[in-house]
Formats: sequence, structure tokens, C-alpha cells
Amino acid sequence: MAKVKLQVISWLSRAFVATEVNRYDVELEVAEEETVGALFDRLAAENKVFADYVFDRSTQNLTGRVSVFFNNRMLELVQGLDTEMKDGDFILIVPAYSGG
Amino acid sequence: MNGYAGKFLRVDLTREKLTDEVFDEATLRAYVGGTGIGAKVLYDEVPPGVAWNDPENRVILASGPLGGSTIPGSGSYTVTTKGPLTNGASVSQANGFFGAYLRFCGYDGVIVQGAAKRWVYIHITENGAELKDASHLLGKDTWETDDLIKGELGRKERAMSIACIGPAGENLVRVAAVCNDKGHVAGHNGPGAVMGSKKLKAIAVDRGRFRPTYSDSKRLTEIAKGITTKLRGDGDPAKATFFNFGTLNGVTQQAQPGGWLPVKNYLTQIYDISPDDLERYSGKYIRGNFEPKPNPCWACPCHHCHMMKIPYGPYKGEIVEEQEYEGFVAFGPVTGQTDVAATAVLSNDVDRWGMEVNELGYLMGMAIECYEKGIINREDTDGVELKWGNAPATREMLRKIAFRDGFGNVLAEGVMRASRLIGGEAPNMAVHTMKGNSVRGHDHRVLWVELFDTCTSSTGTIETHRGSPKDQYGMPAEMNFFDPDNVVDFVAKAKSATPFSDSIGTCRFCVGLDTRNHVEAVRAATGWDFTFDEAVGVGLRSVNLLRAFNLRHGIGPELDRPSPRYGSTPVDGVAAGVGIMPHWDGMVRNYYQQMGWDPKTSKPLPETLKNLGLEQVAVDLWG
Ligand code: SF4
Repeated sequence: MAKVKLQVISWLSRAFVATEVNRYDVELEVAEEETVGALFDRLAAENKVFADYVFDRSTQNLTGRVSVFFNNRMLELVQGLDTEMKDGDFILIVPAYSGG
Repeated sequence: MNGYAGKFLRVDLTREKLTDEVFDEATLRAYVGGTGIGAKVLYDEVPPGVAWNDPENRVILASGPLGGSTIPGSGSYTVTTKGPLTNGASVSQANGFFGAYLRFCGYDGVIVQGAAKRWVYIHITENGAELKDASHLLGKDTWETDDLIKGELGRKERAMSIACIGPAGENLVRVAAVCNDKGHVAGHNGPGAVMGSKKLKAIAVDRGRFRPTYSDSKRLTEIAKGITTKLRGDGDPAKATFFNFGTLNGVTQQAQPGGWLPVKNYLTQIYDISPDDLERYSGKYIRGNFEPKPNPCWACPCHHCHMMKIPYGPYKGEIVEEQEYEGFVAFGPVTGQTDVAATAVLSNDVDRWGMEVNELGYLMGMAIECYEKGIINREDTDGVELKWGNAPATREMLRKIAFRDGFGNVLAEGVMRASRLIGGEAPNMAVHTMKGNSVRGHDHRVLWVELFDTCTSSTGTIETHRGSPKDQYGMPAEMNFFDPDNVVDFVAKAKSATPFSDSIGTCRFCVGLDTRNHVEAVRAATGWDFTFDEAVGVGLRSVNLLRAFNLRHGIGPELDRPSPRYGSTPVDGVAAGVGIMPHWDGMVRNYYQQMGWDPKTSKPLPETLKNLGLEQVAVDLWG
């Protein structure tokens, strides 16, 4: 098993806490070499808010409502949802960029 | 006709003649209002050879069929003209009350042509309009102008709405804006300078008693309620964030963590700021400490616009309009400022002098970088020490730009021209498109949709919006926007959503870009059996007309590019080392093809134009 840190910003924190906070950090256990997509699928299965805003299980893709960063790099520029995790990795989810 | 006040006001300033003009129903249905009708009038009435400051240029200010209705934020309007930064089309929206009040005086819009011999303003009432002397308003900023006109006409604050220019417009500063209702700004591509070239200081509109009739008011009210429910966050916390804080959290909760904050003129993406100072940019801090007083626009339920008081520091006590995200960015990170109070004061100054805040941010960013690198010195800048984060110096330079005083006269030419006047390495430091306009308040090098759209747009700013509903335009919810094909697909497919939305007379913050909902609202207002495809046609007509307009005015495909700094590869941040330029030429070709344009010249193909009913444009372009 490995541990990764997940941070969510602003209203996305509702996926984990009742009252919205600016930032919410959570440490998650993942299997060695588990992909970000597999982790998100697991989270979406047990967490409706996460499913609504972050990961759509029916398309097995992001919802288009968030930007995801992996070790401070845009997830698209790593391996996307196929990115494999290892101990100590850091995933950040930010409300998607909106315009201008 | 349902949904319309029924006439436009045409003002010929040369002849001092004011007449009413009626568009037939077929024209209104094809162009709707706002951006659509503006593009049509601009194309039809401003032929090649007419310069931006030629009296034959037009300024079109237009609401749309929802203007002044119960739809939230329906005080908005579009300003369309030929602008001085690109020497091509200039299309901008502003919110507030102006669009609604125009309709309450019985007008859907105003078309201004000619140039006055003396400084004038237009006073529009429900009984008609007249020109009034404006010589005593010269040199007054946009807030003072607002107060003075209301004072002399005996109108209370909300009994009139005034779209005016400040000293920047009077002095033909290329980044001059049209401002209304103290803090609402239509500013892309210098429309304020065009008004200045016509010696037109302001257009003052009474809150008349006329009300357009609607085909189905009940349905319109239902749609309005639905929009308000959504704004309040019904199932959509993102919208609730906007409802409660407007764009205030854009820096702290989006751009900073997301890595698309433009810092120090695109030199870096790392904002060197303490956590405490950063927190001061948050909605919570600003609303908690700046004594905010709500100042919403027409029919708007959002807790967005406010007036506020600077609570500390050298500017303590100054009253400013709560700035948008873009104002906080332009005079925060872009210019190396970390004090939110200084940021608010500087961006408010830009509004008051009557200039466009994004342009001014990158203008000052370029000038400061030049100063810091020794390309210009104190002697060049008339003793003003242009250093990162030096608020008093920036404040003084903003005034100098508005009045074209000393070095301000150089910067008044806009980022691209000013950098060329400075010379040396300066052009390599300037953030702009090769058409000549600068860009919005994000680091687009990690937002390729916006970078590509800004450069290929014909409006003097972005033409497509990331918030366009992908499902309605046949796109998947999630797209990889570092994939050049996806970027082009999105820009081309969503192309019509924004110009259509900007044609109906509403604030985009309120109504979003939900085309299907807009179509419903247009149907309820007008009684037409208006369809989604017609809405797409309205948007595409505007896009193709403006492309054709620019081509005929000498703006070719070679200018669909970023400046070297704007298109540079980020050296740090979330996309360090990844640049868009290796893909550029292929993306542009793909885009032209998807738009139905000639792949070499970007001319809309005859077939494309004919499908939109633009046969005459096909003749103009192809013979
Ligand atoms: S959302 Fe803001 S800009 Fe739009 S109408 Fe409301 S107060 Fe005005």
C-alpha cells in the first residue's frame, strides 16, 4: 500500500466535509501503481458529491468541472487518468477554469 | 413587435441630426440585437478605407430582446465599432443599467456616426433625444462625468444611466473604454477613443416609462426564476460561489492554485506572496473588511457588484468599486503587486480614467519589466520609478497615460505599439496578439483554448467562452485542452455561443452560456418559433461578418498569432516546458477548415456565407 495526499479547493471540499472550507486535505491509501482514474472511480462510487463534480463513473472520465494536478503538474501533461501513483504523490483538484 | 422597443436612434454628429430607425423583423430575427446587430451595422456602414478615427466610423450601442426584462442582469449592452488597437472590429459588453434604460426610452440601440465640431453628449428620454454641450465635462473622469450630468439634468442616481468616456477617450488613448454606471466597462480595442474622436463625451439615458411588450411574459418570468434559482446555487455550488462573492475568489480559489495566474508580465507563474497577503485577495477578507455596499445591476439578484472603502494603508478611506477578478490580477500579480488595497485603488483608477483594465495591466507590466531591466530609465519615464509593486508610481503613470502626458504618451499607444516605440528588447516583452490588442487576466499559456481563441478572434478580445455548454454543441464533457485538435474543436464548435448570448441583452455572469435556455427566453419575448439552429446562425453570422470586416480592413491571417511573449513556453508552473507554438500553424489551418474558411487566406468560403444568408459578403470577398 501507498499513501497519497489529496487536496480539494473551495466548494469541492463538500465532497469530504459538511461545511465548505477553502482547502481540504485528505490522505488516502492506494495500491502501489494504482492509477488516478482507478482511485477516482473508487471515490466516486462511495461519494456522490465526488461523482457529481469530479469523476463521472458512466463515462469513466472527469466531469469537465474540475482541473486536476498531479505533483504540481497538470494531469493532462502527465499520463492523464492513467497516471500511476506511488507513495507521497500529491493530487490537487481545483474548480475548473471559467472564462476570460 | 413583441420583444423589441421597435427602433434605434441614429445620431449623425457632423450634421447634428438625430433620427429614429426601424429594422424589419427579418433583420432582427437574423441578428437579434447586441453583438449581432452591431456586427451587421459595422459591416454594412463602415467600408474599407475608413480609419478608426474617421468620422465615417460607427459606434453602435445595442441591447437585445431581453433588455430591461425580468431576466436577471438584463441591463447589459454591446458596443461595436472599428477600434484603434487592431484597426479592426471592436466588440465589448458592459452590464449595469444602460441597456435596460435605453429600452425604457423606446430604443433598442444607438448608432453614432460623424464627428461633432464641439464636445457634446447625447441625452435620451422617452420623448426623444437631443445633443447637449459637453465642454464643461472635459478632463472629468467617468465617475465625475456621471455625477455632473445627473446633477445638471436633475436626475437621481438610479433615474439615469450614462455611458461615457474619461480623459483617456478624450485624448484618443488607444486603450480607452466606454464606462457606465460607475464601474461597468466596455473596453476591448479602444471604443472610448472612437467616441473621443467623435467629440462625444457621453450618452445619458433616462429611466423612461416605456416598456417593450413580450409575447409570453409569464413564461419569461418563469425562465427568470429558473435562472435565479440556479444562481442561488440550486444544486450547483460553483454558481453559489459566484452568487455570493462574484469573481472575488478567482485569485485565491482558482487561478493561484490552478496555476493560470499571470505573474509579472508572463515572466513567471509563481506569485511570490505571503499566505496572509494572498488571503486578503479572497472574497471573505474583502467582504469582511472593505465595508461593502451592494450595487447590483438591473434585475440582478447576485451579491456581485459592490462599492467599498479601502480600510488601511496609504489609500485608507478611498471609495472604490469592488473590482472584478481581472482588475485584481492586472494590478496585483501582473504588475508584481501583493497589497490588495493598492490593487483595488489602481484598477479603480483605470475605470475612472476610462481605460480597459487588462490592457493597462499588461501595458504597465511591459513598462515595469523594461524599467527593471534597464531598457528605459527614470529620464525616459519623467522621474517615475516603474518598479514591480510600486503603487504610487503606477498610479502616477496611469494618470499620465490618460492625459498622454510625457512617457504616458508612449504607453497610450497600447502594449504593441508602445513596445515598438521603446524599441530594443521591449517588443519581446509585450503580451498581445499580433493584431495589436492585449489579452485577458489569465496566463493563457496554460489555457490553450483562450490563447488560440484570443489570437484568431476578430473582436479585439476573446470570441469563444470556456463556459459554453459542450453537450449542446456536440462535445464530450471532458476534453484534454493540451491536445491541439481538442482545442480547435472546442473553439470552432462553441464559436456561436458567446456572440449569440451577447446579442440578447443580458449579463453573462447571470444567464451563463446556456444557449437552449436563451432560445427559450427569446421565444417567450418575441413569440417567434425561434430554434437552437437559428441561435447558432445568429452567432456565426456575427463571427463571419467580423472576419470579413477585418479582412477587408487589411487584417489578414498572418496576424492570427500571439506576440513572442504571449506565445512563449512557460518556464515554471504547472505546464513548465510545454508550449503551443510548435502546433500553431496546423491548428490555424484546422480551425479555418472547421469554420468553412479558405485555409490560406481565412476568407469565409462563398458556400459558408450563403448558408448564413450573407450573399453580399460573398460578393464583397470573392467578386
Ligand atoms: S452578475 Fe454582476 S455584472 Fe452581472 S448583472 Fe449582476 S451585478 Fe451586474
